[in-house]
Amino acid sequence: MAGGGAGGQYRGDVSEQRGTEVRTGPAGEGSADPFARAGLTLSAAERARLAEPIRLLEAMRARLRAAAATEEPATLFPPPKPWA
Amino acid sequence: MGVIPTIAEAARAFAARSLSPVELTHACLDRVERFEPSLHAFVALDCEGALAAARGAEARWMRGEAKGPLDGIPIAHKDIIDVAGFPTTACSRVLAGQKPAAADAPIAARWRAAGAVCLGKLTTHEFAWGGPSFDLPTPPARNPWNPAHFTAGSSSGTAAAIASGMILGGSGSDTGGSIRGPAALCGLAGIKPSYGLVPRTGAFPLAWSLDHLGPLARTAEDCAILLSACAGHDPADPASDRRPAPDLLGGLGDGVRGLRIGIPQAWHEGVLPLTPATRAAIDRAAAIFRDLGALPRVITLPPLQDLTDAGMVILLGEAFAIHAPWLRARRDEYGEILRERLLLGALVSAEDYLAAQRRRRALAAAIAEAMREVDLILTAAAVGEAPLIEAVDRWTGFRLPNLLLPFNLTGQPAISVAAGLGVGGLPVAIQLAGRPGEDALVLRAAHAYEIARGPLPSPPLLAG
Repeated sequence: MAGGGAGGQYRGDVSEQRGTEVRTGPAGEGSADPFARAGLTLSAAERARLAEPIRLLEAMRARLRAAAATEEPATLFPPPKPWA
Repeated sequence: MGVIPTIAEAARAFAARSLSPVELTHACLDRVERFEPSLHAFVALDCEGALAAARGAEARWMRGEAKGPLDGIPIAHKDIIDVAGFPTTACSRVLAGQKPAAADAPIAARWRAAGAVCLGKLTTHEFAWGGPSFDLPTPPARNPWNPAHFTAGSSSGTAAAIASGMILGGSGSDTGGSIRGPAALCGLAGIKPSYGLVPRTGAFPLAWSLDHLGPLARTAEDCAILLSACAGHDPADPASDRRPAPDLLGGLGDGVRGLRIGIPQAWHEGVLPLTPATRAAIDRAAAIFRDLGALPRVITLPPLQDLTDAGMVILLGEAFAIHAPWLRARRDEYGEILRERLLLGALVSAEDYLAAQRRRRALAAAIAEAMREVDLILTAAAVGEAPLIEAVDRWTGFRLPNLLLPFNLTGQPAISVAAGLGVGGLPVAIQLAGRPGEDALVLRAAHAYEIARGPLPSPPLLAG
């Protein structure tokens, strides 16, 4: 997790696999499709299965953005830190 | 051995020489042999290693040199946590073929140093989030109260193994309820400690800023024993609390007289489909606490949906950051449930993530403000009894507010405690949460509640 142990154990596997990474072709990083921008190609079936959870997540994002819009933009925001 | 004792009972029996660690370990391994084929709690076992450790513990008890109440107690670890000699697979094909871990994670090392007898590694939902899945290398764990039913997750094997008497306690991780949910549905106690109290080093992360490790066991007292033995600073975890670990056992029996207990009634109303048995359990718990001299009353906290929104967006953003390289290269190796959940992380922008973190800070401040007036928060730990495993809705976490996730956001200690059985004969549960750092108070109140509640029946499986 954070730090040693498992984190170090698994790191090599990822970099070894990057050679076989599936890129998204012309869409890629400039695409309006967030999946393509993230380097992920979704099938039509996957998109269909994800339609409802995407809608649910969009509602969560919309509520968070609405809440953020009521906050003073310049409010200091310290990043998360240990509670100690 | 007819009934597997709790950890505290076993330690007293070891001291009185009426039970030996070897005898107890054999009894647990017998239950593994009987129940594992139907419960799927373990992914790896080390019977010989366990018996060797038990013999060592037995010798220490006989010499009067026992290391403490965990010496000789059979335990096991969730398979996202490194245990020397076992591969850590997170129950995923993505990590198939891993070499055995060279060293214990601190939670495993500290329990081992306290004399605990490690039986092996326990089933988890894939990478502590995707389940119940039927397309992983190992099947999902089943609920000992009725194997057709769900354990909840993601510490599913830990809960199944303890509730069936295969072990007396075990480790779990909790990012949005993964210790407390399985404890609730399997009739156990499970504590998510304060953020930073137990080091996460050597455990595969799900979401760095929400992840906690902690124990599950049959009782709050056993959780206190297990947590005492694994709490404390570890420089390898940047979020680890540098303060000395609190004394979790000294005041455990001090009761709840005078404690102010807030019940966020609005969390139990609205869209959450709490069953009548769960509502009755909360009312009964409030009455028990009142009889014990505490002062329960209704309080107002931020809306549960607001807390869930912030928590889910943070969880998705962080989990996607961890898994994105594998998702691009090896997506088909994930089970379908986790794959589809993780893919949603691609939709979380930096703006979303930071909006959620800013909201988190405001919500945590609001809860901290509310806790100036109360010492503990009492809520339901689950909406009701465990559903059929085949009927679990994989998108519930997005569809309904989450009763457990708020305290991952705030870093507060929170424990799930069994509160009796529902109409289906499966457990219902309550949750108690305290201020950050007040783990001892949470355990003390849960212990008092359990004593007043009285013993629960055993799962029917154990009577057969």
